[in-house]
Amino acid sequence: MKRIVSILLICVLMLGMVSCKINKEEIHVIWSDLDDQYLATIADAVDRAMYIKNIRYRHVDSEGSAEKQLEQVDDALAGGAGIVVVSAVDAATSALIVDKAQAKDAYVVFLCCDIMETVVMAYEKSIYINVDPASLVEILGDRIVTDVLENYIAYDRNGDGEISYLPIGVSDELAGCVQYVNDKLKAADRSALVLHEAVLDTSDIHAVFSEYNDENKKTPELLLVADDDRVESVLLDLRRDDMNFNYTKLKTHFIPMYTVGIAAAAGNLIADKGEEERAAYSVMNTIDNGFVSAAALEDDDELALALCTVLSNIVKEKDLFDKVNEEYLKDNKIFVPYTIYG
Amino acid sequence: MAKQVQLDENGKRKFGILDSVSYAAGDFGCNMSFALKSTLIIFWTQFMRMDSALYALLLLVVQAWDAINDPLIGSIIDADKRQYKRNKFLTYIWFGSIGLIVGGALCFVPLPDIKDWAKIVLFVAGYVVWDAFYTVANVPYGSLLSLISSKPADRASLSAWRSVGSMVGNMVPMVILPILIYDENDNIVGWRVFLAALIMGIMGFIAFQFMIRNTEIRESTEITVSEEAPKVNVLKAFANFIKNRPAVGATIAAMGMFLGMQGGTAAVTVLFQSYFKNVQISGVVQVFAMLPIVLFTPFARNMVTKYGKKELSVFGSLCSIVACILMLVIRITPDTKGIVIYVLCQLLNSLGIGIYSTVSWSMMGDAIDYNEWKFGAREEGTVYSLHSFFRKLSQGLGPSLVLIIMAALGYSEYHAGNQLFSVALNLRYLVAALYLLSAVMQFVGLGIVYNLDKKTLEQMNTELAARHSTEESTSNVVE
Repeated sequence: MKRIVSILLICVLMLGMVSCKINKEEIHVIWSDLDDQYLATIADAVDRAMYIKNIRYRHVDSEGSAEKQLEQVDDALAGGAGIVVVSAVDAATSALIVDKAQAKDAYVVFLCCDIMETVVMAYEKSIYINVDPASLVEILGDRIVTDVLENYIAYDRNGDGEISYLPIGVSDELAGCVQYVNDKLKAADRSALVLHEAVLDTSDIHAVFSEYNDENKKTPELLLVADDDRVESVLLDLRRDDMNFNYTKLKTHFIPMYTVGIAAAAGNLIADKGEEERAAYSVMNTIDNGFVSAAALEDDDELALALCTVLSNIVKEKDLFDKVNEEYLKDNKIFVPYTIYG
Repeated sequence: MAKQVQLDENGKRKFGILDSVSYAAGDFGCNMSFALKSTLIIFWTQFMRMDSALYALLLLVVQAWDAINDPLIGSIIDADKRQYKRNKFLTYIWFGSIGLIVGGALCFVPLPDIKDWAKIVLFVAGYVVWDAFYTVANVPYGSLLSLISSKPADRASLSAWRSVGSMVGNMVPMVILPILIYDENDNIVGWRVFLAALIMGIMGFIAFQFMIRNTEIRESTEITVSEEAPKVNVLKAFANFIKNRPAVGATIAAMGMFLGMQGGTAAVTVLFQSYFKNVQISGVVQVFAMLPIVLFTPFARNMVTKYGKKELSVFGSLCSIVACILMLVIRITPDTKGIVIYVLCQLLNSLGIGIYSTVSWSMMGDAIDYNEWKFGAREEGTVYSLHSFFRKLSQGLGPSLVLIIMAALGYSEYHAGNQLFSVALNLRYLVAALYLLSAVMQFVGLGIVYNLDKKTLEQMNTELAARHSTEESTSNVVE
């Protein structure tokens, strides 16, 4: 009897050990908050890329809660996940997640989020994939230069030989972009962009534009909006009262506008439409409709592809960065350049 | 020195290649507006942003009008007893061709920001006007064949060249349109569709003028375009139709084609927009998939003679079933490899469907003969009109039902060519399922219900010939 019980206990123990074995093919993706439109588009691209690569995975939404996210990481690791992909709720959370993954000898991939870099990168099985913020300057800058050179006369509304720009929102990247554009314009023997007025609060836009009249043509001639969340309010302000800027596809009353990102909601611009249509209307639609010139955005497909390549390498026990575009690799991190929409 | 025109025994231009080519030009002209029909759903839901359920309902309404429109205009043409300088049918075709210059474009007026009620009016009015002009041109065009020549060989040539005109009129827009009307983000661009419709209307007009100028009317027989409508008991006619197994079988097969394949046109477009993310190659892929049937057609006659229509069609439906099952179970990924697999499946599927479509109308002819063989009366008009009714019913129901299913699977017109991947994946399976439905209905209709195999068909034709011979000699004796 004792012998039978012992054998049974050993079997149970072995079964338990097998179930606790880290399964590299068990992949969990934990999104910080899928209500965030930007993350939702990344998630969709990841879904697609994973399907193409035939990588099975589970995914959960932390709904913006760091505490919930840590619990989800615990659950994933306890369930035997060998790889955890996380868009961390915040940088502090990333450090805690690394500790948990390290304890279980699991891989952790941080995707499109802020991280506590020193902690995260100290763990050899930690990988970081994000958009390359430095690329914004060149990607968006090249597009602005091309448009300005092709449409200089149209953009120069007051005909003074200069194009004045209005930055909406503070952004180091946009400041760098302006410098980049001005260098290129100078090389093309054109006047640099001239700062019209710095606007920190979007409610000031109407005040700026209400100074405009046909005589003084005192209007910014190019708008640089720091992020797509502000685009809706900027367009609403441009259309207020009798200003009617960027209201139709006709270019007679159009101020070229450039921004970063396309996923932000813009449903208030079509307030007379149905609920479903308004819910689906975003900055992307404003670009499609010609109200906004272009936007720099994260290359979802390339980010997803980079992720899938890394996951595939982990499962097949290859070098982590095998077949990853070399131009994306910087200090063992993967940075995917921005792309342009519009 | 100008080439002398050869004349026949009646002083008319001798039948030749010019007759065939000009007749083909007529079908090309018709297809210059008809080819755009498959773009209606995507234009009205994604660009005009009409609610999918509302569009499905309106589509049913205009299809119902379509069913009324044909006999209505047919009877107007028949009732017109005026003498025309050239020919009544050519005159109506000319009139229809003028309307079609803008008729097609009226269905694609790019005003997405107007009120919802205005969109409803615009859609219905545009479709009705287009449909009217199309019918005015198309109905007499079909009847024109019997006025060009009475000789069977000439009519066979006209019929074959009509198919060529139809094929060219379909294939050219099928390949070129997706490249022109979608932007780099796979979104449909409304004004481009409108412009394409106008250009195609002009091309159609030119083709019609070529046809009209080069058509030689050799027969003066009074032809009616609308079906004679004797007083019939509808219930009795339907009861007789149900007893006619070949007619029912051929009708089930045709309904399958309209419900599944043609109904799924919108799903296929969204498949290329959001799944493969390359809508501009959709036309090329579809044309490529038609290659097997193009290669098969020259051999159709000999193969039918050797194997029989039913046998050949059933073989075709089995090919389609296999192709569709493969389409369902094989991993068709949203990349180049996936497109290749999709195309290969479609090659096999289209061969199956194509075999059926080459013999479908002659199978209905055999069904008419069956009626006479079994029940003593041909009831041609009733059988054809009920067959046409069910075809049109499916033609109307198919796209509407599929659109409702697409919405249930998560399709949102407001996301246009950027549907979520999960939705795109659902539609990938829907497309395969719709093609499978078509293939299964074809198999059921032709393999199980349709009972005129080669042997039975020979027996029927022999007995009918003997019966007709007896009736003829009896009537000669009476005279």
